[in-house]
Amino acid sequence: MNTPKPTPILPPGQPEERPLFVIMTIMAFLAALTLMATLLGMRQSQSWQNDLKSAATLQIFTKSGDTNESELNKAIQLLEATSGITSIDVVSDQESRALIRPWIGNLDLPTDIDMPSLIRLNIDRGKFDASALAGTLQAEGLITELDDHAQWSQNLSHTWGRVRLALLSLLTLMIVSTIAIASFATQSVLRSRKNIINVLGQVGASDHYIARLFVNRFMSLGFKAAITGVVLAIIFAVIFLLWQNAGTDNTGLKLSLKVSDIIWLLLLAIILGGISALTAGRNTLSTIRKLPRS
Amino acid sequence: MNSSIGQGNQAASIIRLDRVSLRYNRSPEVFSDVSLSLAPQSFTFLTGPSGAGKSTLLKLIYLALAPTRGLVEIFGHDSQAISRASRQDLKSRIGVVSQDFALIPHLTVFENATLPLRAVGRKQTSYETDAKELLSWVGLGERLDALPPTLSGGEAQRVAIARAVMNQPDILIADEPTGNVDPEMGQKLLRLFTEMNRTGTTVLIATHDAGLLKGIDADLLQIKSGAVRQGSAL
Repeated sequence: MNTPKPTPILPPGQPEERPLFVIMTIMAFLAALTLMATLLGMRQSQSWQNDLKSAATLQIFTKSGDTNESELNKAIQLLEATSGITSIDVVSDQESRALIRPWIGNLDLPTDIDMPSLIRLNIDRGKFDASALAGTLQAEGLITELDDHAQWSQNLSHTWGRVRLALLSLLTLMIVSTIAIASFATQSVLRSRKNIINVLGQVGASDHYIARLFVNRFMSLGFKAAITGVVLAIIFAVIFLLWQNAGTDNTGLKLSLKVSDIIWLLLLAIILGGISALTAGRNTLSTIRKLPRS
Repeated sequence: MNSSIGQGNQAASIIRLDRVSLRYNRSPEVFSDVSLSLAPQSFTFLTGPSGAGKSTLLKLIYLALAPTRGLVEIFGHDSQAISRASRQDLKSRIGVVSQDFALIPHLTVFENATLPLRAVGRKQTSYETDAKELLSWVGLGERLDALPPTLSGGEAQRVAIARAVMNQPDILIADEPTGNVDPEMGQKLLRLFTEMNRTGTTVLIATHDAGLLKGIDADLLQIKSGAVRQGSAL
C-alpha cells in the first residue's frame, strides 16, 4: 500500500514564524561577519608578527651628513660575520625616500636632510643577539640604530589581543541574543499552538513527544536561517574583500577567505541552529510543565 | 447499578471521586464535596440540564481539570499524586469526545482520527486499514482527506468519536456525542459505544437528551446545582 507522508502535526511556514526567520537570519549574518573579522584579523596579525619576528632594521648615520660608502661597507662586513642573520638587503636611497612619502606626499625632500643608510635584515631570532650586534657596531665607531621590532611586535600583540577580546565578546553577545530571540519566539509560537498542545496532551502524547515536535521545527527553522545568514555574510565579505584588495592604498593589506574560514562559518551555522533547537526544547518542556496540573 | 454515589466501592472502581470540590480562582465553587465511583466495564449516562456542570465534571474525570480539593482516582491512581509522565500514560487509556471536538484544523480527517496512535509512535502502516474501516463505519469513508474546516458539525463530531475509540481505550468519556448527528447516526454511534462496552471499555456519556437513554441498560448519574446524585432522586 502506498502510504502518503503524514502532514506535520505542527503546520509549517506559519506567518508568526516569518519574523523569527528574518531576525535569526540577521543575527546569523552579523555573527558570521564578526567571526570572519576575527579570523581575518587573527591571520593578518599573525602574519605581521611573523614578519616582524624574522626582520630587523639597521640605520647607519654618517658623521658628515653625506652617505659614507665605507661606513656602509664596514657595517655590511660586520653583519655578514654575525650569527643569526640570514640575509642582508641594503635599501636604496630612492627606496628610503619612498618610505617617507606617505608623510610628505609628492614633495621633493630638501637635499640637506640627512638620510641614514638603511639595511633590512632577515634574522633567525633564536640565534640573533641584537644587543651584542649593537655593541659591536658601536665598538667599531659606527653610529647606528638597530631595531629588532620587538617593541612593535609586542604592541601589535597587545592591540590585537584587545581587538580579539572585543570581537569574541561581540560574538558571544550575538549568540546570547540568539538564545533570547529563540526563547521569545518559542513562547510566541507555543501560545499560538496551544490548541494543538492541548489536543496532543488529551490523546496521551508525552511531554517529550510534544517538545520534540517543537525542537524539530525550530531546529529546521534555525538551520535555514543560520545557513541563509552565513551565506549572505560570505557574499558580503567576498564583495568587500574584492573591493578592498583592488584598492591602491599603501598598506599592502591583502585579505582573503580560506577554506578553514568557511568551515568555521559552517560550524557557526550548526551552533546557531543547535541553539535554536535546544532553546525550543527547553522552553517547550518548561511551558508544558507549567500548564495546570491536570 | 454499577455507579455508586458517595460511597466507596474502592477496590472495584475504575473512576473514583471522593469529596471533590472545584472553583475557578475566587469564584464560588462549581462543585462541592462530590463523590462518585464507576466500576470497570460499566456504562453510565451523566444527565442534567444545560449549564449544570456536566462538561466540567467530565473534565475532572478525564484529567483536563484538577480539583481544588478532594481525590480524583483513575485506574486506582490518585491523579494529583502521580508524575506528569504517569498522568499522560493514564490519559492515553482514556478516549475523550469533547463538545468542541478539538480537531487540529490542518490535519485531515484520517490524521485527526489516528492522532492517538501517531502520538505513541505507531507506524501508519500498522493501523491504516483498521482506521479506514472504522472511519467508513461512522460514515466518513469518503471524507478521509477532508480538512476539519470543511466538515459539517456532525462529521466533525464523528471524527472526534473515531479518534476517541481509535486506540481501544479502557475508558470512553463522551460529552453530548450525538448532539450534532441525525437520529439514525445517533443510534449507530450508541451501538458503537455499547459494543465497546461489551468488549470491556468503561463508558461514560454526558447527555441532556432523555431519548438517548431509552432502550439501553445503563447506570445513571444526575447533576444539578453542583450536586451529583444517583438516579432521578435529586
